[in-house]
Amino acid sequence: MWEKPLKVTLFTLATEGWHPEITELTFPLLKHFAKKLNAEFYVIKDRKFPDWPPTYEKFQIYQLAQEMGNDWNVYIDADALVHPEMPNFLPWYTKDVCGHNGHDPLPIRYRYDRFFYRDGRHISSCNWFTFASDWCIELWEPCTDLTPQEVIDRCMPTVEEEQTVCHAEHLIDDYLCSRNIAKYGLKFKNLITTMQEQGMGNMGFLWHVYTLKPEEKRAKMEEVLRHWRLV
Amino acid sequence: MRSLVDMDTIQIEITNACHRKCANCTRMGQHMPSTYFMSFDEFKKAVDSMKGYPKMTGMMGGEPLLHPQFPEFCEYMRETLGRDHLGLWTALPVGYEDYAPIICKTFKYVFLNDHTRPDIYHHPFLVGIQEIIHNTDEMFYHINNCFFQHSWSASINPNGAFFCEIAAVFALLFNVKGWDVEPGWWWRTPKDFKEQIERFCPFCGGAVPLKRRSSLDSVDDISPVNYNMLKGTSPKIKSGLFVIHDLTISDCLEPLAAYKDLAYRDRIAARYGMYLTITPDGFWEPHLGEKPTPMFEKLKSWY
Repeated sequence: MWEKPLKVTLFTLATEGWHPEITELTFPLLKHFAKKLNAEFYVIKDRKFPDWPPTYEKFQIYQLAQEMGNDWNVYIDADALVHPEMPNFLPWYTKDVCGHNGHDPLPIRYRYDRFFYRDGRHISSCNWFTFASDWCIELWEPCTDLTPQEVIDRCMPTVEEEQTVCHAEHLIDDYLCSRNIAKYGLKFKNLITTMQEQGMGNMGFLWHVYTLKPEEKRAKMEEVLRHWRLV
Repeated sequence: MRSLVDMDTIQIEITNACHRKCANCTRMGQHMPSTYFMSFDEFKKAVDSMKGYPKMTGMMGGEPLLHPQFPEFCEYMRETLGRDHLGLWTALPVGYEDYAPIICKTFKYVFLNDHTRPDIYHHPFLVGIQEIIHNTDEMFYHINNCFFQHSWSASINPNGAFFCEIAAVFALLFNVKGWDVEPGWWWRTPKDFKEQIERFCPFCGGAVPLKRRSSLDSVDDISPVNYNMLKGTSPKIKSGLFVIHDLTISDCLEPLAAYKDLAYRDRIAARYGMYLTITPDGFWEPHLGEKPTPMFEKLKSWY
């Protein structure tokens, strides 16, 4: 049977030396999920934006995806655990949408600019799990009109974030994805909602707790793997 | 306080005999003047009383495998209550390896702990809260919020049925009867616990944060009142294996449950030619044979 294959890449970000004790737990699962998506697994390792905090490196996807000629791009943080039964969610979406696993209310963390006012959807990106097709690649468009410090100044972490390990410089990627969604009016979907619509609500296929220190995170991850009966 | 149907498990404690001599043993077996082995009739009555209990019925000791009628007990328990509702608390002692098939056939859940690692800590239950918190209202406030009543089990032993497994141990120490072991006794709710709470909990340290002791130590912690009460009867006190507690409250940082480490439990199971899998409800199920390669190991080898 002939079919035109979809070109999909599952990206993650682990710049040189980033916590191998975490990635040794997450990467086998991410690679397994990439296999299910029929996707290439691509680790962004090199710094291309040294003036920005490391988390900004995921905006390399804007260029990489174009060079790869991808139909779909999926990004998952390198400290996220993906259950082997996590469904391939891409068939549920058309290429005119992008999305995250979930999203927050925008006014809690970020200062508005005219893109947010004009868009009016108040979508605060949780970009640890992100998907966008070639039609919506602007989701990862690098920022050209603000300096790193100006972006950091627009981010106001929650109390829990500030009191743990997530400070303003760690939120710039969420802020800039939110801003690109608003700036380009990208159609946005929330995977949690879609899974409920598909009769698969709250099945616990993903684990990502970003407010833990790496050593706490490793211990929690081992617990999750036990709970998932994988070890 | 939790109602008994809100607990995960109700224990049937078939013996207080044990091959180990842990510090601060939760069953205080070394303080009992004699060892008991539940008769088959007592056990049958206990099992029959649990018909309809919606959660798990546990077989516990001491070390339950030391009971000479362990195989018969297993068969009756499985036939009466069904494997899916049964749990076994054991150290899998050396010399009883032939029991592996009947363990796997009888129990959906096993809770293995051979107390051989130093980071398993035992709370000093023999340090009475009444000697630490003198205001009675405040003491019962803490007892009402007891961590162990909220997370451990109710229990049946030869003295009857009890709302708390530690209260059941104190009943043995004080030679006091519990509730009749009759069908549906486990429908009791906190309004029914008053008499047992007032009789046993003031002597127990469970509701108060106290420094815990590695189970590999040899001595028990005991408070002065409890010491005076037990010094004439307790073999362990007579052997000098105790420390009078200074009654200071602690931040209680010592872990209680290091034994939940799957690798540790797998090593214990392997001695009996068994392996464990984690059930969807987060417990451990025993199987005969060698453990299959876990899926995470397969994933690592695939990619």
